Amino acid sequence: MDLLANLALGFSEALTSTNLFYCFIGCLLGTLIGVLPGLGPPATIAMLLPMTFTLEPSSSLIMLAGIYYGAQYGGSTTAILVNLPGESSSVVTALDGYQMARNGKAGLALSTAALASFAAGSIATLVIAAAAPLLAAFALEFHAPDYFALMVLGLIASVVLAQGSVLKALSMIIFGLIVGIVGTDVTTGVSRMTLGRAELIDGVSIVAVAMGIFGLGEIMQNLTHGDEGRSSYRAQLNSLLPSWQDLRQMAAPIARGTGLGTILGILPGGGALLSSFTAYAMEKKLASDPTRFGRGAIEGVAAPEAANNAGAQTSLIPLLTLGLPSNVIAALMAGAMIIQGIQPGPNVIIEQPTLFWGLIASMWIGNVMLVILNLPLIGLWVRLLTIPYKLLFPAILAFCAIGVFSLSFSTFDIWVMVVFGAFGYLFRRLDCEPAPFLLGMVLGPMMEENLRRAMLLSRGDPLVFLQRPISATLLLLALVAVVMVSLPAIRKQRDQALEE
Amino acid sequence: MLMSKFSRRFRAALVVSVIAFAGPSAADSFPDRAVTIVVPFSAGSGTDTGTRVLAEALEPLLGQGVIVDNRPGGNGAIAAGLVADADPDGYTLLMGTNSTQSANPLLIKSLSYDPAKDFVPIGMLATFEGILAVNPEQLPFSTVDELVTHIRAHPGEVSFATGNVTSLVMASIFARDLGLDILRVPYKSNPEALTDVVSGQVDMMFPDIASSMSQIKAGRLKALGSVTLGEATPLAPDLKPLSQTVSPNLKLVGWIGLFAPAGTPQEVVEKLSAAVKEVAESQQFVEKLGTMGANANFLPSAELKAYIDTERASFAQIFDEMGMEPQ
Repeated sequence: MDLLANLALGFSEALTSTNLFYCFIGCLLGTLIGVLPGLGPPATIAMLLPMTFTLEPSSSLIMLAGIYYGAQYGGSTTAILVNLPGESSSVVTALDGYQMARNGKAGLALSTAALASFAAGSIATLVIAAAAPLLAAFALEFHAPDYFALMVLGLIASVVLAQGSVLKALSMIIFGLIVGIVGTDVTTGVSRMTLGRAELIDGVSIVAVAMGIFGLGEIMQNLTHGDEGRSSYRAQLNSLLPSWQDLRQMAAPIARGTGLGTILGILPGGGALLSSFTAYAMEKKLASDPTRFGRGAIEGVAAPEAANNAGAQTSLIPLLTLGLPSNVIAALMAGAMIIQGIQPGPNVIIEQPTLFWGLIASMWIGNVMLVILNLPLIGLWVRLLTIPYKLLFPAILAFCAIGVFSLSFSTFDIWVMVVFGAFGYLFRRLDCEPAPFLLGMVLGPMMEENLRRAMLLSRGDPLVFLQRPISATLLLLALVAVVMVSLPAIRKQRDQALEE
Repeated sequence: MLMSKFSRRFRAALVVSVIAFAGPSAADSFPDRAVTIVVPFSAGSGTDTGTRVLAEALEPLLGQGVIVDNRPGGNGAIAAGLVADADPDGYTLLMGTNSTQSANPLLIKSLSYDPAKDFVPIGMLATFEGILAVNPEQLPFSTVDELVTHIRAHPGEVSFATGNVTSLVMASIFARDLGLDILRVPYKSNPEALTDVVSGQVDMMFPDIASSMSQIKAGRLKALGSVTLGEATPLAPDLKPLSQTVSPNLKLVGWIGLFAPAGTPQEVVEKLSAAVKEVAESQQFVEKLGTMGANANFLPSAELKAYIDTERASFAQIFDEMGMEPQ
């Protein structure tokens, strides 16, 4: 009953014409920046933050949140159409979404992504409304050893992601780890591999690397192979919406992706990326025919898209219920609250019930707006593919450069993108998959940080990883995964399956 | 030949006289276009919001627009290097912090600027005072004396979290003044560190008031004292400064202040300094910053310079003791 009363209060706040307007603005902006490669929610929210000084607190938070989850919708668009992830969390969507587009199913892939995001967003909103304080308490139960175990599991799962040889996947992870540790070491303050450049003290920009490897690498690959890879796009422009059979096929993956995203999203750090990777790996493991993955499997789009949208929404829980921002976006929103004279903290729900429940109700309204906004756009996006590639690729290049520049207004990041564009091309020529590389780069530093923190706090006793139930369970799962990958019999089967 | 030599000399003389003439008049008419304040951290940070509140209030006083330009990266080194290289005309200013002006030369070997030589201080704007916050379940004490007795009885067992240079330096001075052996657990940012103190993974921390006050009010953290420049902070008047009780040297706080590139005409610096002083001492500014957890605290150019000199020496000593070297 309480829940209903609270939701009624929330909807009465979110449905005022002012708040509906700002919710729409947020969703629209979010979709646009999601589509534009590189320009992501952190840069956009940072730029818009000063404008929120004059708004009502609930209007400004509703708009900023809309930008964040709206970007999760838009981010998949370029990933599917031109293999260019608009956000780092849509890297996984590119794996099968782009293949679907190559098979002439770009419209279906886009509508799958939108519907999966909508379903996940609606469920996540309900979960937040019903169990936010409980989930926040769970997030506090996750200590350094547990994070370390989670990262280990994530990295091992990324081997499962890879299509070809295990050795190549491992090399890519290790290369990712090496790039990931560039910058200041948190524990000692020592700079590692910064080449004396101040720009590298905070590490190599993940967005610039992802744009280089995926975006620029793909362009080089397409240009060296002439236009032959592009001809299939023109087929079947009319099949934009999923059939009844498609819907049935994607229902279970969406449900599983939402569940994973909801849980992993509340954990600080790489919630959205980790949840979409894990959701993809899980679908591949559960599939009766895993070889379809990487060749345009609809589950490979539905599950990660559901996971990253659910994760984006639940990642705001620690901020709203505890006042502890768990990622950059949440930290920026905390800044917006402080400017408005609201101290983010455990008392916000009690002291500002209209703000809290209004924001939650607005998330559901925003998700409805986004699906209405996005479905008609699909026809337009798909038509983009009919533009001759010689006109399309310079535009993609320009947008990439603008997006990367907007990260910190530095030309250095553009050079980073160019260098990793060359790597991306090289990876493709060598049949190495870029996804494990990126996961290594993101998870590696977090894994190291938490390993050293756990060892510091346990005074050097490694048994701490086995004494905590969460980390022991996760490490056990990782061990099972290793055994499955390395058992010769299973590997033989795996290789046979790949050759077929 | 002769003609050209003459004309060259004439032109040179002309240029000199123009400069001599333009000097004072440029300062008189300053500013005749928008002034840019470069912020070394991203939008939404304490440095950024403080700058934006200042910029808004400065515009009517200067009669010109004030642009806030965020150039995050390299712990503030990118922005500071940019302003150090800018024309010293007062139109490009730096919102400096203890990171850009004191810590960076000790942390970064290839720093592109010299904080002591490349800048003229305009004035300190605000301080971010600290709090000694403990997890009430791990350390159930109500006074700092009880805490100190407990730590002395259990050397090396109590852990403290650090998320930035300021919180690290505060904890180090506290430990040195009292001769305590506590375990340092470093984090990338203060919010991350604070999260783990709230969850009980780490026992205590020296966070800033802005980020920790709501946790203290909700009873998830317990405050045992404050860290200020000397007097009790108006933001938490009931908390006794630790420098008055157990740790006399604990007088370092986080701060933000405005700087111009070295070589900026004295008149321009004075004009800016007077405007910043007027803003910083206005009731509206004090209240606005107070809601953000910052203490509007104007220090004029000379006093800011003196404060930075002692701060740098203090940082150098602590980093030296910890074996940290510029990289």
